[in-house]
Amino acid sequence: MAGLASFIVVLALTYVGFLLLARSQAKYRPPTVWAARIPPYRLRLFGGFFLALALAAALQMQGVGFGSLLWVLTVAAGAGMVSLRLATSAR
Amino acid sequence: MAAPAQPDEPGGVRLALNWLHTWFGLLSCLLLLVIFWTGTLAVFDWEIDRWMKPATRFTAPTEMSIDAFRPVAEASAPGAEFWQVQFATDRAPAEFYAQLNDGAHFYRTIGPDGLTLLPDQGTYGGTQFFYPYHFTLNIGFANIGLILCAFAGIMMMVLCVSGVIIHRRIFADFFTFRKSQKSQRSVLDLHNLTGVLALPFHFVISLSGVALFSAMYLPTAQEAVFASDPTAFDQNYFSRPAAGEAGQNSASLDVMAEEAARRWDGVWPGHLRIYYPGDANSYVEARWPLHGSLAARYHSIWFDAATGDVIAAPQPSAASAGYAVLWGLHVVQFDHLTIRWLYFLSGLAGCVLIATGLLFWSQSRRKRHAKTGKKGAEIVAVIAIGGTTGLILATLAFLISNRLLPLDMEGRATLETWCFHAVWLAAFAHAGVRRGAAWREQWIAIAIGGVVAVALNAVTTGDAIPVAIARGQWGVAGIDIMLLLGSFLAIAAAWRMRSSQVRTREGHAKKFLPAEKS
Amino acid sequence: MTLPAPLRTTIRCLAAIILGYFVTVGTAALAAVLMVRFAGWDRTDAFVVAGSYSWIVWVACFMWAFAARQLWFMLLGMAIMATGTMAGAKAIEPYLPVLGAL
Repeated sequence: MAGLASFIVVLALTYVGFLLLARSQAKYRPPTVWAARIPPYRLRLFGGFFLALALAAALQMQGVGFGSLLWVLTVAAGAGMVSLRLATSAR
Repeated sequence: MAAPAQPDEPGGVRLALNWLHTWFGLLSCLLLLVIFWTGTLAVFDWEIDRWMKPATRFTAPTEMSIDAFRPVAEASAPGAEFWQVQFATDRAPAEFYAQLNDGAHFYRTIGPDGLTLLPDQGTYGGTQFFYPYHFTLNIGFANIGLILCAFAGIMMMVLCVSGVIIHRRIFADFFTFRKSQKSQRSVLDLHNLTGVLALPFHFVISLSGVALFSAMYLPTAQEAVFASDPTAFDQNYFSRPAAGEAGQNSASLDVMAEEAARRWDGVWPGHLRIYYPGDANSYVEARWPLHGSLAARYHSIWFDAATGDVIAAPQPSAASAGYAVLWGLHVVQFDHLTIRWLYFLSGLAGCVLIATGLLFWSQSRRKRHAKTGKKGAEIVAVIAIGGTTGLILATLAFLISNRLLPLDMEGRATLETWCFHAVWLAAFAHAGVRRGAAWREQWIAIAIGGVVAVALNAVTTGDAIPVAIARGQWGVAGIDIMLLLGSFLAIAAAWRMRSSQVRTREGHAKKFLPAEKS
Repeated sequence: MTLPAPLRTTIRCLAAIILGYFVTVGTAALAAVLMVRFAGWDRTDAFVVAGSYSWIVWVACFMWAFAARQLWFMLLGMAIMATGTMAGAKAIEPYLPVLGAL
């Protein structure tokens, strides 16, 4: 159960991180006025921050060995979910 | 960017590596599909064992007395070279294994009382079929299977690296999946997406897979390194020959297990193995369990069977962590259900990666080959069908035959493997005859097969999904649930293919024909 | 003199598979011997670690074999690496400590 809980936390954080990274690309910028004002580098910075936060959470909850392994595998799942969302969202 | 006809064509390194990726990918794709699929199944090999051996579906107590069990062992495997008891874990009950004098193996599950052997379950199951298939293809002759699998592992790494180099926009690919009407576009997107997302997994799993058998694959290097000290290769592994005369093996095996656990700060051994039982030189090995930690340390304590004294207890060196972790990452024997599932999903992503690569090769050449009369694209399309849906069908046939064949049948385990291979071959033949229509028909067959397997499990063993859950048999229930989920997805795939065929007939044919160039 | 393209491709494939393997063997042996000599590891640990990671060298050889524009340079380079590493390993090996069996 502890493993599942940490997976959910890490997945949520990597999902947010990758969504921010994706939004930094011109193709995926949301067509809103406020979003246009945020410079892409800041989105990338925050995206990277969330990914690092996910790693920190994984290491904290699962230890160095299992934590880093969980992070690497979950990053793929998080990024996959982002790409699925971008593919299915109406554009 | 299409692959060039030869790596020497002008266009630079990227095009040359594209040639490598295209043709070596094609060369090894079927092998890689088989290895990835069986490896993905082997992640849950003990659970598959429970499914295929209904008599072993019980929650075993972790503690058992080997001294009490010893007469049973010696009666059922007399004159064995060695016998061992693998202690029960969360995933499996205790197992008995003996290597007989004529080289034959003897496997049985130990009953819940810890004093009886269950009758032969007549199946190789997950641990003796899918698991060895993953690294030997179950071809024992001259280690051909092992060598082919190592080559496939190297190829996987080569394909990973060349795939990354020939890609210009690796970052953008993280988010590029276009649900295009053009299936070729979607196939390539899916290939890139699974390749990029699971790249660390694919690379490390291939490297560690080859690394596990390094010593076997590098005999000349081993000779060079151990030239002046040949016996040092067994530094961490004690052995001595049998004396040939009978001796007293009176020391308590339970005390040895306890002594090992005491030296390992309370970690109970994974198994206890008794070499040359009854011989004057008999000795006992207590092996460190693999399910406790990420690193897979193959490390033991040896006892004299007559006196119970410790003969050897080598300390694992700090350097051994350098490979124990790499091995542990591959064999996933540690208790971590979440990571086990993520391995399963990553393995499936690998199957998708290989299958989409194969599909793309065929789709992007179909029109051109049809024009010039070449057969390549059609043959590869047949391989793609047989290697994906055909392989899934063969797996289902393996499970279904397991529930249908009578338990007391002679040669039952072998017959199951014949069912697997016969259905697999039939799937290739079907794909060769029916061509494009074979996809849809095989997805439908998979959907039916999955439901049939679940139904047969419920009827023949009484473990319908709710019953299995109520009994705490989560492994069995999990496999049933995955089979039903697979059936559902297969129906969805068949439905999609039907609708695309209908649209093609309605005159939008151009949309679905592959583009000549990407 | 330029060889015909299919022949050059065949040479690349053979170099990647055969020469690449021997470069891997040599690198594993030399790396293991150096680890025993300078890091003080025992031979088993050194050999298993070197062998486990040496496969990356083979992968690199594949890249080299196909990325190289001048075939003779690539062939010569791999041949020298394969023989050189193995000769180096064999030259240092006699000076390693002898431990014997457990």
